[in-house]
Amino acid sequence: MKKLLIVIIIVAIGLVSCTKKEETKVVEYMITGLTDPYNIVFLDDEGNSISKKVSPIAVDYEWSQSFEKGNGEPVYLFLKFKENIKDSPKFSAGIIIDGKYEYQRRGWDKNIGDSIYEVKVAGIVPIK
Amino acid sequence: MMKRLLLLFILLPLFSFAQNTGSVSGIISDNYTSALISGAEIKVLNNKGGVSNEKGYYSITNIPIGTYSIVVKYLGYETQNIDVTIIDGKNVELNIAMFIDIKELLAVDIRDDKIETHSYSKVVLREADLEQRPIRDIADYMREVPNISAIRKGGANLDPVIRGFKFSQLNVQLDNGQKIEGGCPNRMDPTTAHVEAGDIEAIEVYKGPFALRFGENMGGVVNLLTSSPRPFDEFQLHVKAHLGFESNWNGQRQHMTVYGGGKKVFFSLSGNNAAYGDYTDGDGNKNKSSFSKYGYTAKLGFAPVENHKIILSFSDLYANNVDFPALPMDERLDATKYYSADYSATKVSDFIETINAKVYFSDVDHTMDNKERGFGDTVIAVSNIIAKRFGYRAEVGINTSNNSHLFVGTDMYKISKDGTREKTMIGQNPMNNKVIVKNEKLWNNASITNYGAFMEYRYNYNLWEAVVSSRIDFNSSYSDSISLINGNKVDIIGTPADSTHSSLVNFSISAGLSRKIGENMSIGLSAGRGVRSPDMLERFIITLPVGYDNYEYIGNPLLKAEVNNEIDIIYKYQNQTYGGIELTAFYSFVQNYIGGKYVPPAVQKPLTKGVLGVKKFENIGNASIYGFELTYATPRRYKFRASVTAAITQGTLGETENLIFDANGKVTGIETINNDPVAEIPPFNTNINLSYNCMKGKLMPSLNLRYSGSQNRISVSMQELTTPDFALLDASIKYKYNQNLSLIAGVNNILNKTYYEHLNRRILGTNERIYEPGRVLFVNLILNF
Repeated sequence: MKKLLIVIIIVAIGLVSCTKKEETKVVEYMITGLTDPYNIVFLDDEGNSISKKVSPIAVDYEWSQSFEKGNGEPVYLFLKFKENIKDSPKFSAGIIIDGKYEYQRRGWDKNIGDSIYEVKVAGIVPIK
Repeated sequence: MMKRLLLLFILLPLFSFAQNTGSVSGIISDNYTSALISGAEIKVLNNKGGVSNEKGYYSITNIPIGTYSIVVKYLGYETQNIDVTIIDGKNVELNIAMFIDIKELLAVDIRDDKIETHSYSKVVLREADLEQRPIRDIADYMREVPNISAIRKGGANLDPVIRGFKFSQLNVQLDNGQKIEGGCPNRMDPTTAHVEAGDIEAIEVYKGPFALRFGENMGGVVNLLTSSPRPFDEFQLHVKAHLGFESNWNGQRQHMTVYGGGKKVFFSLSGNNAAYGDYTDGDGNKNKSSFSKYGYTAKLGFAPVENHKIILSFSDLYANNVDFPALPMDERLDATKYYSADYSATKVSDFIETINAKVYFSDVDHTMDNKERGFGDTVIAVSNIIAKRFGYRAEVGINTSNNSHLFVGTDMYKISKDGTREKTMIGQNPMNNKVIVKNEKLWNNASITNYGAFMEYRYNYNLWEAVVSSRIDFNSSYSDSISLINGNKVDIIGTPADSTHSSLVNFSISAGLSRKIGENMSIGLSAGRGVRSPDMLERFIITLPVGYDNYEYIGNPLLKAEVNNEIDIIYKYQNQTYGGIELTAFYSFVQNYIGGKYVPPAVQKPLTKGVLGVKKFENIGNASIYGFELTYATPRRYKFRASVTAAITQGTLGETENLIFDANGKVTGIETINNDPVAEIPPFNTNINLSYNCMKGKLMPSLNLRYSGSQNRISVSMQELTTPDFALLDASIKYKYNQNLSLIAGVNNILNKTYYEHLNRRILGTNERIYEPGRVLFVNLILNF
């Protein structure tokens, strides 16, 4: 009986040790502060490049897209627009992971000919 | 000439000599309780032995005169090797006290197919020794042995180095012949990393190119023996568990084995889990070293008739998030599966003593990436490599006479490797509304096939022992095109696409002769020529920084085989009162040494950011490697025990190229230098261990002092860095409550020294080395029912 009890304890320790860790996180791409139509490219949950034209329908319009993504997977959001965001302090393009902004831009990366702006936000889903 | 030599070795066994005989007898008892042991196995020659009766008495008669090493085995006790001299017409009385050994209570397979020899340098590390230490990594533990060190690139998966020989220069295998081909070009996963430390029952290390029965061997053989199920007279079920904790790493590991069965069918099932964090060095700085590993191994054995056994084995092991700060990537996931089927037979007939056959297959799925690196925000690089290895080994052990034995056999393996690196350019804007993704080949359906045949002949006569071993290997390799055409339309590999075929015929041979001098002394001389074919990396890698130096390397299918011509002298002295001493000196002359030769940027620019340039694998010339090893230990029967080891190796390349740089790190010229030291050779190292066996073996405190000298003898051509000396103090205590429960606790690096070993690589992009852990408190709990 004593032996059996010890065997059960050992097996239980073994099983507890093998508890599975979470291997995915919730990823949300979010763009705010733009009122004119703009083009975006992002990586979806399967790693495919998705391109889209977004047409805001109100001043406070927020575009967002969320899905589950594996830890370590690349996340990528690219915007191309004509609106001068100097006049829009609410502008933000970011990637929220498990409810927290992991990557965020509040200004443009590139200004082509003073009329086309480009913003890129990218990284990975944190591994640990 | 070669044919004549071969003929000579085949004919050698036919010689025999008439001899006079004597006998040996005595009582076998327990060292602590003095209880008589019946059923202990005593073996003098391979075909001469006996079993102790119910009064512990044994007697072996008609032994040819001479000096022999008697082997005494009994389940639950440490195997003993005792030297005895048989005198004509006389009986030698030899009473033997046996020491309890936890590991022998487990699933122990008596591996009697190997006869001890005084001619080769062989070290055996047992499970009982392993349990004394916090074993998270096999190669890490092997660093305890004189002249064995290991290359550290991260917290785990260290790569063993024996006497300056490393990587494919060593034959690292599992259970007498099985090999696992790692996936990583940067050797994140050497063979030792694919075996769970908790499954290890013993590690045999044969230094030098002398043991040729276990495959191509140039610098030494490391044979990792895992625990194997064994038959029981009546059905039994047992459990063994090993729980470990290490404070500094916040590391914990669990290993459990359930084993049992009956006379004809028996089994073992083991599972392991380990999770380690980052450790801090002596200054309290954190070193990236975390990893987790888990998996299981199942073995099923059959003994349809006496002395015949079949064991089927399957392992499924995983490693996750293993950090390698010295490399451009970390190991994200390693999934390893290996299978084997073993057949063994003993005492088949008067002529055939043993038959061993094995067939195995391993499949390694290795994924690594740079996702946790600073530059991961511009390019995410993920490499996936599938490495497969299939092989077999078959061997027959023949009693050629009363005092000679012959092993003959054949082995074969086929390795195949294919891998790509996917680069997601997240630092760049999309192209045609798509995120830019590039795919590059690391290996392109590369394969190596090897067929070998071997023999080993051992002969004892009076005070002499002779061993002759030889093998021949037919090695061929192939890869789909690895051509890299540069901007000038020049193929930088330098071979047409259809010339990735290469075939080599390698002949290896070794001979050892030893002689007993008086009762306690022996001297041995071994000479050998061990040949190994270039490995998959050296032949077929397609541009990757894989060397010690910061260069991108490209493979060369036309490499010649590397050859080690080595001579060893071994002196042994064993005294019942003063203990044993072993001194080995060795000299190696390595031909066709494989290294890197510079490829100018006009021919090929590197593909990897931050490297200094490109090198191509070439046979760069000859090297000399030499050194010595010293071991002393007091007799095991003493309560107070002491052991001392000391070792040094030095190596020199005959002629090699050295690059000259300007202030901006640009190559301005190439010079030829002579006598450049071989890179990555550890400095002088000595170890003193003291232990006290009290409470009839229940309590054993021990203290270990280690000194490693500075290494200023560094390779100029490889831009190697010097290493300062250091001294370490470790302490541990083992408490054996009973046969079922043991507790081992200790503190390593008590003085919290900040230090690094010479073979610790530098952190990528810096000249800073990976430091070893500071003070570590460890606890091992071993349960066995």
